[in-house]
Amino acid sequence: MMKKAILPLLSLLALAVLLHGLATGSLDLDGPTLRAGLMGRDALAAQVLWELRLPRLLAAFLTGGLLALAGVLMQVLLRNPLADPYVLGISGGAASGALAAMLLGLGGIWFQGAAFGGAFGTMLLVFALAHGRGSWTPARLLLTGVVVAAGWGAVIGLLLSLSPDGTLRGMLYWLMGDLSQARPTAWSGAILLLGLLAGLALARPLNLLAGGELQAAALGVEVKRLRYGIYLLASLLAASAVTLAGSVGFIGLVTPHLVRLMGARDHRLLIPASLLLGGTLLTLADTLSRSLFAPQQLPVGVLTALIGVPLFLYLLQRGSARP
Amino acid sequence: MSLDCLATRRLSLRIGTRQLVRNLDLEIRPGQCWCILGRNGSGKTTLLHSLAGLRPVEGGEVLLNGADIHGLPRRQVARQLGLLSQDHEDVFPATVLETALRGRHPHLSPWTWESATDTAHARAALAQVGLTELATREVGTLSGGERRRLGIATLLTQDPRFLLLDEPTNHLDLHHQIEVLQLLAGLARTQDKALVMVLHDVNLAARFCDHALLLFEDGRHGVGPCAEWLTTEQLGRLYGHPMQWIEGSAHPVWVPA
Repeated sequence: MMKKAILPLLSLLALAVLLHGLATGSLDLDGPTLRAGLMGRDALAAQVLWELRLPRLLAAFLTGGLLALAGVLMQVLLRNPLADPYVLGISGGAASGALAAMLLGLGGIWFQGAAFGGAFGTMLLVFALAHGRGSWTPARLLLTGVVVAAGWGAVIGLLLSLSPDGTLRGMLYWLMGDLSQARPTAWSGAILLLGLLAGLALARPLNLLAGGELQAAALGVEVKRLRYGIYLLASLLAASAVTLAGSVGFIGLVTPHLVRLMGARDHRLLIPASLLLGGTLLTLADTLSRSLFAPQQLPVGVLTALIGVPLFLYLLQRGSARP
Repeated sequence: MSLDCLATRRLSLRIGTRQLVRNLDLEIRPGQCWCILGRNGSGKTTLLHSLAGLRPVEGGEVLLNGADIHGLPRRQVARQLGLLSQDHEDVFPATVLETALRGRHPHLSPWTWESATDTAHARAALAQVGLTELATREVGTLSGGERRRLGIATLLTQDPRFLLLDEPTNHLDLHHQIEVLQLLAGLARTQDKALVMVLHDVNLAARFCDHALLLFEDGRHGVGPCAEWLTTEQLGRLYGHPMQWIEGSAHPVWVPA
């Protein structure tokens, strides 16, 4: 694929998936009705579009974009293609906070605050533990994060086993990632924009860091400062995503690889392209999750894997480009 | 102290409890070609990284053009000084040309893309090490020797005044060893670059370098012109094995006795 065409193509794809998402659901809307609803000439369609579908689509797109960006950054930071936004325990911390809030019957801002607090607290904890007395290697950071994540896994198990049956279903949905309650917020949009701009500003140093820390430093990158910056940024992006929609899997891991398979390996292209594709994939997955077995809704995390796994394996098998 | 030089003043390096270098005074000037020789673990790489300002020193200073290298912004250092490290870490995919182009980073301001001139720099460097045909190849598909020459091309694209190279002939066949060393030693003569190379082959060192830095097992060092330090006696002491000088060759040749 031509590198120059990647961003326009992904933008078109994003637009198509958003329109498809607007038209699809328990109430399918045809072209004229869709237009009438968006213009406000059809009251029922307008209500469905403006109050239900559009906010949910935007939340899905935001979450997907946040996750994909976080994934790109985590993979470079840990110099590990298998890294995803959750590998350092961010989602475990968020889940522990969120489930505890559910168990206590808290909702709304308290619930979101608990999730974000859990994620942000984990970020600080892993940072402090990995940093130790100043020697912070990717391997040490990864090990610390993985062990902290395992600790959160135990806390989640404990909270689940303590919970009454009535709240279990909501908890499981949250753990798999669920957008049915998600609404886009100004702050998550702002964080995505910040992530994109900071990512683009750091794109060339990120290219160098991908080639090794010593080499990057020798070529003029302030490696230590860059690592702190990426860690903070990636954690913030991942924390915002889980706060919006729970731990949606797969998007953060696979999107950067899909974009690399399309031929975009330079972070100046990889970062915006991953944002677009991550948002598009999650939007598509969410539309399917609420329309496949409508009115029954599936947790979107199930769909991201169901779409992502075959797509990724197909591209990998085609073998025209190395990941 | 002269402005155009890479120098150390009373430099001391330690790893764990082992003293690698003590009170080293060194002045590397443009036009000079240095070799660093020593046994495994004698501190050659540590010294090279210290000269590049990439690790803290246990004592003394490294001075780049008269200024403490640790006080300078890395970008400014990288415009003056480049390093070829011992290994290459390629975790993520990139093409040969993309990899060589990374050398332009210190010369570009943050929001700019590489210009046609930068690409021309990189292509010229690839041509110098014989990789022109492989420009669009994936780095992961290169052989060890080709990857090594790509590392050298990246350094040439960076185009610094001081070139520090950790075993530049690693993985290279005989033909490319000579070709690469001729190219590098030529830079010192024709472009007034300064070179510091960690080498294991004393015969190549004697053939291409004019200055030597010997790191002995006991933490002592020898610094000076090759004629003074690359002798049968000093090399025998350096490697802990007697050496024998072979007469009658066009270039100096030692073999282990």
